[in-house]
Amino acid sequence: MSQKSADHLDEILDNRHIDPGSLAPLRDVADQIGLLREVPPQSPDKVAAGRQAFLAQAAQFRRHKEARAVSRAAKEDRARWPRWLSGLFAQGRKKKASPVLAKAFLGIMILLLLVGGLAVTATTADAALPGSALYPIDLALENARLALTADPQARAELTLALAEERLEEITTLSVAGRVPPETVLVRLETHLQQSLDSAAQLPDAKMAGVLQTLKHSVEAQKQATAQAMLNAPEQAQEALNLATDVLALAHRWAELGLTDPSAFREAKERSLRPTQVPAPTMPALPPTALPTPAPTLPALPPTEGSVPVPTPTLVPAPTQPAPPPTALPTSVPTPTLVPAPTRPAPPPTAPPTSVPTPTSVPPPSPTNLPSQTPLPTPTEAPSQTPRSTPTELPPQTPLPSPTGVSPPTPTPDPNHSATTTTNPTING
Amino acid sequence: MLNKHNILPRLWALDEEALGLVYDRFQPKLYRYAYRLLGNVEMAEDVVAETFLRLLQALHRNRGPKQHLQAWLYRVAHNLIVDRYRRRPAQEPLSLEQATLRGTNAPAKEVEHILAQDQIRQALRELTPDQRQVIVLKFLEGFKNQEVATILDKTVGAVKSLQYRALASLQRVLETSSARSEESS
Repeated sequence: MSQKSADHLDEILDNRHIDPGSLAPLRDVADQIGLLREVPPQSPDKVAAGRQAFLAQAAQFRRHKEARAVSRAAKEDRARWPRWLSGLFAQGRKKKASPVLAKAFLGIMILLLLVGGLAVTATTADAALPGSALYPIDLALENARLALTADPQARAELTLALAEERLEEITTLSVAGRVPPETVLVRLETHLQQSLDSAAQLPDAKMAGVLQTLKHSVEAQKQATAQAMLNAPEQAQEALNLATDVLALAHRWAELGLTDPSAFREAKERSLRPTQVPAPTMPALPPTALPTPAPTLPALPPTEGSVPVPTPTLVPAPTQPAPPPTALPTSVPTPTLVPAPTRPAPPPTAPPTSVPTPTSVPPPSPTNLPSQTPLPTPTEAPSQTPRSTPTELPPQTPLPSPTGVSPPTPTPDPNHSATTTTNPTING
Repeated sequence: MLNKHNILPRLWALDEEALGLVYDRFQPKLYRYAYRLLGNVEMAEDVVAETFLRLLQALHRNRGPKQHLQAWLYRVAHNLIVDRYRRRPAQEPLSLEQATLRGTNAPAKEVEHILAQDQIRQALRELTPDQRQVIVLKFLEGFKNQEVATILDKTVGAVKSLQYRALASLQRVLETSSARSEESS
């Protein structure tokens, strides 16, 4: 078969007047194919249904296409900004036409890096331990947060969180065989004190909530401390003991607030008076010199019927060498033995003018032990407190503390042969 | 109006009105085309529906017709028909009894017509796809050589050659088939 034959057949098929010749059989076959022209008609309903289905499918595709277009546009937007950045730099290099823009961009980038760096530093500092280079940054940031927190509830929660952080530092250092710095213990006390003070400013319901949280937190912290004591070496045990006592005191304050909110508030009010507010940075005695805890938290109000004991807020240095710790009385009261007060202490029976002056104090007697020390009253000078020579007497501070704040359950300081702070309920 | 210059962009945008116009215009043609090759209404309708679905899918994937919508549709339909051929192997030509049953109550001439149609349809299956498409498009659908060339994406000369060879093959197949039926009768 040549192309010429094909063309000729095509002419024959198009023009019936052309003699087909030898191609007639093929023309007949073409005519026979015409038998297939007949087609049964389609049902109009089926056609309409098919059309509807087709358009419904089209709508589905359309929605999908639109969604894809939106997604692609978003992707392009994301991909566009690096080009914009490179374009910016390229523009600065090639044309040098927009140095201001380029400089502004660089400035923003440097600022972002600084802010990012600060954020990283803050995060790292937050985990810093006392003694590390970043620890002062941690404290500074905490102070800034505290300064910016005015709401009493938020402040109570924040200070409690800070107290938890301090305790964690104490336990971590102790377990690692390092003696926690005294300042950390002081901060622990201060944060707990701040939390209790803030709680006292809240209405009863909110205060109860905060105190409940504080109580639970303190209980957890006590457990953590007990656990740390099992693992810490001997040199760190004293600090953990101190921390335990600080926590116990805070626990009792919280319990008082939960059982008798008005008494709690009154006691806090007294403790917050300017002459009695302990300085947060008060110096604490070295742990090695304190076999018994000397918490600086304000003392709890005395129990019903007890007589408030006026004590000096400033303790002079002993004039004689302190007796060895073996002289410590066996009946040293511990904070856990002190019952929680049920009502605030009554005001002192004597005005502050009757406070004994140092000149009226008799010479110290090393043989006097705390167990033999009669309970001083506000109206009398502590005649049998040979080493305590109070120079000031806060009118309503029930119990003194060598660090300036009365502990709730005073214990004799072994550095002093006798103290004025004995608890009649235990000793007597 | 369906104009190839303005319908394609609207189709690409999946414009509902344009799609409706295309369906209305090509659905009957494609149905006829499919039926003539398959000889079965349901299968023809199935092929048409699938052809339009393929159109939507192609438009969605940016692979739709760029210029010749009609050629594109016939090509897709034809491929689907070939698939059906493959799935359903060639059947023996209808016997006189079968043709009589299909054309129940029809006169003898009608039964003879049915037998002739079936014979041609069976013969078409013996052709190559291109030959079959040329025959159907040209002698059943009435397309010009140029249109067939466009649909097949071949030159007009190639279409004429395919036409020649297709008719020659059909002649041989039909002669063989007639001889076989004469022998069986």
